[in-house]
Parts: sequence; structure tokens; C-alpha cells
Amino acid sequence: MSGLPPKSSVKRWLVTTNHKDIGILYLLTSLFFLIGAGVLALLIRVQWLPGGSVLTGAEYNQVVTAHGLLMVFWFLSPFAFAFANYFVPLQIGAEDLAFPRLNAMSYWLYLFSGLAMVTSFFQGGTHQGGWTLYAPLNVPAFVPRVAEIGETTAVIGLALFVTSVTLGSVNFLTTIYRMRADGLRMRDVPLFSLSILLTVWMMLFAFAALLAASILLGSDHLLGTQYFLSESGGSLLWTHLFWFFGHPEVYIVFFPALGALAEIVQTFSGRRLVGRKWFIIAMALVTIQSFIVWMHHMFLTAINLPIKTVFMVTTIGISLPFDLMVFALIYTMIKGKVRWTTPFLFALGALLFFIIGGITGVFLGAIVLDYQFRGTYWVVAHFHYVMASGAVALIGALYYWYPKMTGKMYNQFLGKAHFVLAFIGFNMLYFPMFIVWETPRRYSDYSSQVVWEVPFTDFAIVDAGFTVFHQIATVGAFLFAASFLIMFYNLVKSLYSDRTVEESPWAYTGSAEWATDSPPPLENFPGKPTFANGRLNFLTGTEATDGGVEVMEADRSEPATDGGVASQVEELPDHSHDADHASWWPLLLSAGLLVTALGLSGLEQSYVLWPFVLSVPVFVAAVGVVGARRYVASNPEVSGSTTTHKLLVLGSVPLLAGLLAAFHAQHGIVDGFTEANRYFFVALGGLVYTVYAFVAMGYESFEVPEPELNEAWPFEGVTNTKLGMWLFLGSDIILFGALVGSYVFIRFQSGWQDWWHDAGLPEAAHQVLPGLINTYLLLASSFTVVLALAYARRGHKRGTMTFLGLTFLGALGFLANKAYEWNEFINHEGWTQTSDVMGSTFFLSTGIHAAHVIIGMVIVVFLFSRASEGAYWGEDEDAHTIEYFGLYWHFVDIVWLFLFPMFYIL
Amino acid sequence: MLVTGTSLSLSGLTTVAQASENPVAIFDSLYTAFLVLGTLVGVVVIAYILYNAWTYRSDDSTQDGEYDIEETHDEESVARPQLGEVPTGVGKAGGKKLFVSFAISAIAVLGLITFAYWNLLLVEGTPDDADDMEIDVVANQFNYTYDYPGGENEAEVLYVPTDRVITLNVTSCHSPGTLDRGEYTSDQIDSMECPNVSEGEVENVGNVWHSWSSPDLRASGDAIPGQYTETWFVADEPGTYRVVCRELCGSGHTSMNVENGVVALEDSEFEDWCLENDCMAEEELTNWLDRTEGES
Repeated sequence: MSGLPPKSSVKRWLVTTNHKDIGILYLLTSLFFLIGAGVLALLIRVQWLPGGSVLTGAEYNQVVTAHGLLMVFWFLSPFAFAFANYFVPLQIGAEDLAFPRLNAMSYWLYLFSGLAMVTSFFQGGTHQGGWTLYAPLNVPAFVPRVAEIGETTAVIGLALFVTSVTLGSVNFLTTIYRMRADGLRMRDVPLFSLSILLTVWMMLFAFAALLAASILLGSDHLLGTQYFLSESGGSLLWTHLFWFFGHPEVYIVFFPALGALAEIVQTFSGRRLVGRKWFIIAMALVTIQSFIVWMHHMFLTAINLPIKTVFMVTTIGISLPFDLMVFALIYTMIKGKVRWTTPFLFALGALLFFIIGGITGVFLGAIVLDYQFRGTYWVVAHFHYVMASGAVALIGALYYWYPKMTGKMYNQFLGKAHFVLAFIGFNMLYFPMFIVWETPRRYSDYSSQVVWEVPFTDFAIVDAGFTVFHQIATVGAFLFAASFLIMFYNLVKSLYSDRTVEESPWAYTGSAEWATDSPPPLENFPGKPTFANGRLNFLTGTEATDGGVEVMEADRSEPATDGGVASQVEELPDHSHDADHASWWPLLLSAGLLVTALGLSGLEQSYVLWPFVLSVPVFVAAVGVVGARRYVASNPEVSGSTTTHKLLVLGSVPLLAGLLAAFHAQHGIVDGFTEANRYFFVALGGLVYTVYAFVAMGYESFEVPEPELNEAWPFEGVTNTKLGMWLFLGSDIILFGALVGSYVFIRFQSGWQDWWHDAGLPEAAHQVLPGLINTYLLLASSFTVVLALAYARRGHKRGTMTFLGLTFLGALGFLANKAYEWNEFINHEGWTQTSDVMGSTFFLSTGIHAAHVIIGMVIVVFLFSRASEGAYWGEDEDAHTIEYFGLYWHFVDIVWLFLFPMFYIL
Repeated sequence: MLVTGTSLSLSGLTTVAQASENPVAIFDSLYTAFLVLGTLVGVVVIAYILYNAWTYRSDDSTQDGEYDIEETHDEESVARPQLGEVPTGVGKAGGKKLFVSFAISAIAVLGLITFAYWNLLLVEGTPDDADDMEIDVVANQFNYTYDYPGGENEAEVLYVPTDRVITLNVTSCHSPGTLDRGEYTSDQIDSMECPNVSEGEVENVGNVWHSWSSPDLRASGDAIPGQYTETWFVADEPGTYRVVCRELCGSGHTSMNVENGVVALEDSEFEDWCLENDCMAEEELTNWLDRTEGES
């Protein structure tokens, strides 16, 4: 399926995998969430109007929580990634992202996770503990019963969002490293794309910690584990996990804005960025340092003085690289030709906000001040200045790139009016909060509230003075909100204006996106972009009669350099006509996951695993059916499906029967289904569908040409998919690191040695042997994967399939052994994940590993079926897929090598 | 800018050294120093940005039918961006200025860190020679109780004598009990002091995370299940002081805002209250009050 319908067609926007279309989708969706989260913000202000109090305490808490979550996760980052999607490939001279279908999936998962979050409001109420979701207020014991389902939906929505982000990070990293135009070295990548590169590096690791946190929290909700209820550090564990993610998140949100700022200031100052190299080094430094400042959010906990001091130093110290960046931006304006256009005004505003937010942040870094600022409006005002600086810079980016994305220019006067109103409104909203900073955060009612002490005097205003400042803030909030109405009107109206723009409406632009049409064509450039001879050139290949490709150079850069045309002629591969740009599966698969998520939220503990278990036979059958259909369709010479296909379809029936028997053992087959609540059927239906969509997407023929003639340092030696797999495993390491870390943390807090004595499991039942057997089984299955790969490379069908089969059997043995062990624990010893925190950590950590094993087996089934059709070992085939699976499988083994001593020996 | 900044920090240092050993004074001097320095830096930097943006504004007029000025690349000294160039910086231009500014901010930041650390040592732990009274603060949804060293009784309001170092060990309520999903309605949870106890497997369930703070006394500590956080204060004047909760702890969070959360009493009054409420053994109390007379 390669044809992409025209932009006027709705279908286009559902099936597209093109990065520019997806950028537009991100843009519109994030603005939609901006409106939603903005309305919630106004509700907060309305609550405090004289005689206000429109919300109860619980409702107010939901509004505060949802405002924070939606703004941070579903507006700010995705808004930045709208531009990243649209402009990173254009800036680096690529045709699209490395994995277009994955990119579409990132978008749909983002949209659907946001919808899940919104849905949670209507399931009795969403989370009520603030966007930081502090423990143990976030566990079922402290959640009002009516809101439990909504709460769970919010947590699962968060996990879906993290999935979207992880896919996106892998995609962008692979793209920026491997798909740059020829001659564009890493250091030459335009600043916005560089800032995205550093952002996704942070995302890859930071969001993995959030994924771990949301898995643990989701498990506390659905499976009854006790991570965050545990008094052995459960509360602190949450803050460590959350802020290990949460502080890099600040820079994740801000970096794209910083990159955009650099581009805008450079263009509208008409001067190249001063100290570009140092600017980049400073950004890289912050990227690393962002992972060692998180405990400054926990200064008031019982962390000891030396650790606090280290974190105070790293925290205040992180302002230094930012100082350098701000100075670089300021000096760029000197001797410039500064034009006060709309984008520049927003960049200027963002810079001012950032300076105020940065300076007030240094206050918070000083521990003694933080002790008193914690939980006050100083914090609220500070981080809104920082976050809004990011948002305002990105609004500037919207005004900067709008002509490029639409081919139309907006009304400049309305643009400036938007800025003036937003700037005044924002400062009216947040500056007074610094003055009445003693206001405690997240209070729904301030009628008897504190005083404002005028600094340096004995003069203090009680109540009334406090109220006045908050009322000014409320007026500011409405002005700020109103300013966006101007923006929406202006941008929508301008789409239909006759103010067309050519390639670049702005003077002194530099990067490649300005060298192509506005909006750019599907394939982005008039030819293959290259910087090989020091400037941007486009190579255009035309079919020559002898089948070779003749290369012409079109110099589109302005002004013309020497006027000469380089006579470089070489083979120019032209794949653009066979690249695919459309697929239904990203949308359908993500929709399946949304339905599953909504179903899971209301499951009772004893039902949680069954939708997953029962969808396994569906997967096996689907691989058989879809595989056979595809095989017959693409190989006209064969008469029918292979034996493997038939075996898979036939085998799924006894498998289903066996699993239903297991279901019968727990619930009774009739009672189980009749007594299940409707969420069970939603989850089951959703998963069955998801599994089918997954298979169908796996089998879909979707051509993405491997990049050629481009700059891929430092990863010239690997393919896109292999790099992507490495990066994904990198984030998976953090996931397991967080799981093991949580176990170690809780065990340490409860006195390391006493752990197993305190567990509800008799000492005699806690044996090393099952773990040891499983270690051998997994290691053996790693060797068989290597052998399967070796045989596939030799073109040996039977060897390939035998060893794939043996890998599957090894994994099956692992699971069977584990099932036996768990059965002992659960049914004979009565020790489960709900018994105690030892049980929670044991069953969840090894359970998530087991889930990785099962996912591996699922992939082996798929590989086995494909191998039977001739893939991997046949002529014109390559064994890469087996190699990449092998990477994953070895990783799963290595994880076990850590889990085994942790849970069996120590 | 540098010179002013440093001298300000120094004057801040002397203020702290002279201040009585009281978190209020320590906070005030540090806050003042940061506020003055921060305002100064903010005003100077913002003014400089606006000055540059205004001074170097282009007076070229926008070309006909275009949206921006015409590009010129005639000056040798200024590196202007050109479409299609390999994005590079301006070479060495501006580098020196950048480094000087960076060095200045580095010195200022290092100064701030040192200054802040020195203050930290002052508030972290009570003064060395302090003969303090230690009181446990236990947070619940949605109130605080105070356990005095001697007594069985728990107070709902923190009564303290003036001019004495009071150390608080802040924690969140904990009690054995079991809580299953959906066992309680929201009303029940709201009214609970501690999660209720029922037969079951789970032990040692804590209450949620709160944060005890008395803004006027500049004393704060997070109340975390299973953890103790230490903080201390000295009430100079008899009177009442507000206590607030600074971590969102549920639907009643707002109500954990107690106007008379701390009551500081003259010695004799405190003695009366204490003996009546069994806060300390009588002899011990008298000795302590005598011993610490005029200490702070």
C-alpha cells in the first residue's frame, strides 16, 4: 500500500506515515490538549474568585493533577515534536524518518494515551494526587473507591504515552545518526535538530524510568502488589523513580525550545550564532548533568547531608551551561540586523521568561531556601516561568515555520498583538505569585490565608493583600488565555489568504528546510541533498537509456557561489518511487491498545492476566492465516500455504483449549465468563484485535529504502534496524535497572538480611534449583539462536527452522519450570504478589522478565512461519531479522543472569 | 556586576554570623542576599538583552511583496547566515566576550554555592550546645498530632516554651492494617486518622505523604510513612503560629492549614500546660527550663 491520498482526503491523515503529515497531526493534537489543559488552568483561577469555590476539594485536586499531566506530557513535548517531526528530516536532508510506520504509531499512541487520560475523568474521577503522583496517595488504599477505575486508566494512559515516546526516541536517534545528507557532519547539524537529538537521548533513558514507575504503580492497582504502600521506603521509592525521570523531563521539555530559540535569534539577528561550538557543548553537558540533579526535589526528606550537598552543587551548577547559552544568544544580536518580527518577539519573550525562571530556580537550589519554598507558590511561579519559556519559544517556532508548513504568511499585526497580550497576561499571572509566594500550593481555598510580608520592612498585609495579588493573577490568566484566541484566528484565517510564500519568507535563514518549496513536496527536496562540496546541493538523477543513472546538480542555494556546476557524476540510486508512505496498521494497532487499556482499567485482580493469556492462541492462528494468505498472494507459483502455516492454525486450537482449561481451574469456565465484568470483555476483545493487527502489520509489505549516499557517522557499520534495536535495548536496560533498583532499595530499607525470613514463604520452599535450571535453559536457547542465524546465512532451511524451533522449546521449558515453581508458591505455600513486599518484588520482577520471554517466543513463532516461506535463508533474502531478534534474546538472557542471583541466591 | 555581587554576598555572610541561632534569621539573611543578587542580575541581563535587541535593530525596510528585508553579505566582519551553508558558528568572533561572561557567572555561582552551603550547615541539625526538647510530629489525613517526650497524651496543637530550641521529628501516621482495593468509600478515607485495621496479611501500612511546615517559624519537614525528618525552631515571642501542610495529601489537604497550630507560651504558662498534659516529668521539666533559661 503505497499510494498516499491527497491532503483534502480524511483517509490521508489516517494512513499517512510521512513525517510532515505526522508533524501536522502532532501540532493539531497538541494544541487541542493545550486548550483542554488551559481550560483546567482557568478553572483553578475561577475557584479563587471572590465567592468562587466552584469545585470540591477532590474535584480541585483532579483539576490540578490533570492540568499538570496534560500540559507537561500531552501538550509541551508533543508540541515540540510536531516541529521535530516536520523539520528534523528537512534540516538534515533526509527523505523521512528511519521508521515511518513506527513514527505513525508514536503519533497514534500519543493521541490515544491522551484520550485515555481524558476518559479517566468520566470513570469516577482521575488521579487526585498532583502530577507528581506521590506515593502512597497513588495506591488503591488511598484512592476513593469511585475513582479507582479512573485512576488506573490515568496510570495506564501514562504508560501508553511512555511507549509512544520510547518508539519516537529510537526513531529520531536512528534518523539523526544515520540519515544525514552527505557531508553534513554531526557537529554541522542545525541547532534545532541537535537539540532534538539531545532531547531524545534524555527521553530514551528518563522515560524508561517513568515506564518502570508506571508499571509498578499499575501493578499496585491491578495486581495488588505493594511497592508504594510498603513502609520500607515505598514512598521514597516513588520519588526516586519519578524524579529520576522528572528532572531530565524539565530539559526534555525545554531543549527543543532552546534549539528553536537559537534558530530564530540567528535568523532575525542576521548573524550566525556566537560560540556555536560552546553552545552545543553546553547543551550536551546539561544532557548528562540532568541525570544527577533529581534529589533536589527531595531536600526535605531524610536524605543525609553529604548527598544533599552534592545535589545542591549539581543543581546550582547546572545553571552555568545555561548562562553560557543565554550569553551566546545575547551576543548574537550584537552587530546584527535585528528585525522585531513576530517569531523574534516570542523568542525575546521566551528568553526573558527563562532568565526569570532560571534565577528563581537558583533560589530553590539553595537547600535552606528550598526548605521554606517547598510546596509554595514560589515553586509554582518558578516552574511556570521555565515551562512557559519553553512554550512561548515554541509558539515563536510556530510563527517562524508556519509559512514553511503552509506556504502562507499570517497577519503580522495580529501576530504581534498576540505576543503583547500573552506577554502582559503571563507576567500578570505569574509575577505576583513571587510576591505572595508563601501561599501553599494546591490549596483549593485560601479564605483564611497567610500574609504578605513586605521585604526589608516590618510591614505586613494580612489576607486582603494576599487576595489582591491572586486576583491580579486571575485577570492575567484570562488575558493570557485570550491571547491564544488571536493566534488561532490568525493562523486559521491565513490559511485561506493570498499571502503566499516561496521558499523562504525570512532573510538570513541558513538550514536546508528553507531551500525547498513551501510546503515541501512529499519527497522533501528537488533532488538528493548533499553538502559534499561545502554547500547544499541537490543531485537529480534522470533515467538514462542504458539503465544507468545520470547525475545533474542543481544549485538552489542563494546567493550563487561561483556559478560553476560541479561535474561530479556518480551512480545515484533512486528509491523514491518504491518507498511506501501509507499504512492503516499504526492507527489500527494503536486503537486496539487503547481499547485494551480501557478494558484493563476495570479488571478485577484475578482476571488481569487472562486477556493476555487467551490472546496467545489468537496470535498463533493469526500468524498461520495471515502468513499463508500473504505467502500465496506474493508467490503466484506456489499452490498453497506451507505445512508450518497449517500447523500453526491447527495448533492454536489445542492451545486455546489448554488455556481455557487453566481458566476453568481458576474461575470455572461458565462462572468465569458469566461473572466477569464487562471490562473483561473489552480488554479481551481489544487484545485479540491488537494481536491480529500486530501480525498484520508485521506481514505488511512496507518498503523503506535503507539510506544511501549519506552521512552516518558514527554508525556507518550498522543498518537502521540494528541501531534501532540497540537503542531500544538501551532503554530496556533502564527499565530493568529501575525494577532491580526498586527491589534493592526496598530490601535495603527493610534491612537487607532479614528479607526472606520476613517473607510469607517458608525458608525450605525458597530454593535455588528452579532458578538454576532456568538459567541453563535460557543460556542454551541463546546458543540455538546463534546457530539458527548461522544456518540462515548459509541458506540452510532445515537448520534455520530446527534451531528456531529449539529456541522456542528452550523458552517453553523456562516457562514450564517457572509455572511449576509459581504454582508451588501460590497454590501450595499461599505466597503471592499480594502477601508481602518480598512477594511483590519477586513476582513482578521475574514476571516482567517472563513477559519478555513470552514476547520473544511470540517473535520466534513469527520468524518460524516466515522461515517456512523462504525468508532469511532463501536467495535474495537476508538473515538480519534473526540477528536482531538474537540481540533481543541475548539481552533477555543477560537480564536473567542478574535476576537469578538477586532473587534466588542473595 | 561581579564586584557588587561579591560584596553583597560578603555582607550577607556577616549578617548570618551575627544572627542569633534561629532558622528565621538564617533564612531571612540568605533570602535577602539571593533576592538582592538575583534581582540585580535579572535586571542587568534583561536590560542588556533589550538594549542589544533595540540598538542593533535593522532599519532596512521590508522589500516590496516580501515579508522581510533584503539580505546583504557585504561586510567582512560580520558572519551572516547564508542559505545552504554548512551551519557553522562565527569563528572566533565573540568568543572572548562569551568566556569572560561565563567566568563571571561561574564565580558568582560558586560564591552562591559556598554561601548557601555555609547556611545549610547552620540549619542542618540544632546548634551544637543546644539543650533541646524533642517532639514527634505525626501527620494524618488530615491533622497533626504531637508526642511529647514524657507523656502518654498526644496534643493536637504544638505547645512550646519561648526562647528554647525545639526539635521536631516529623513522620506520617503508621499502624498495622490491611487495605484492599475499594474497601473504603471516599468519605471514610477522608475521615480516617489512620488507615483502618482489618484482619489480613498486610502489615505496617502508613498514612500518606504530608509536609509539616510552620512558615513563620521557618521550620519544615516532610512527613513520610516509615521515615523521620528532623527540623528545629525557636519561638522568640509568645503567641500563635500557623501550621500548613505542603504536600498534596488528599481531598482534605486544604484543611491542614491551622492558624493556631503552634502556641508559644511563657515559661510559667508552659509549665502549667505541660504538667496538666503530662508532656514531661515534672522534675525534668523544671530542670530543663532552668538550664535553658536565656540560652537562645
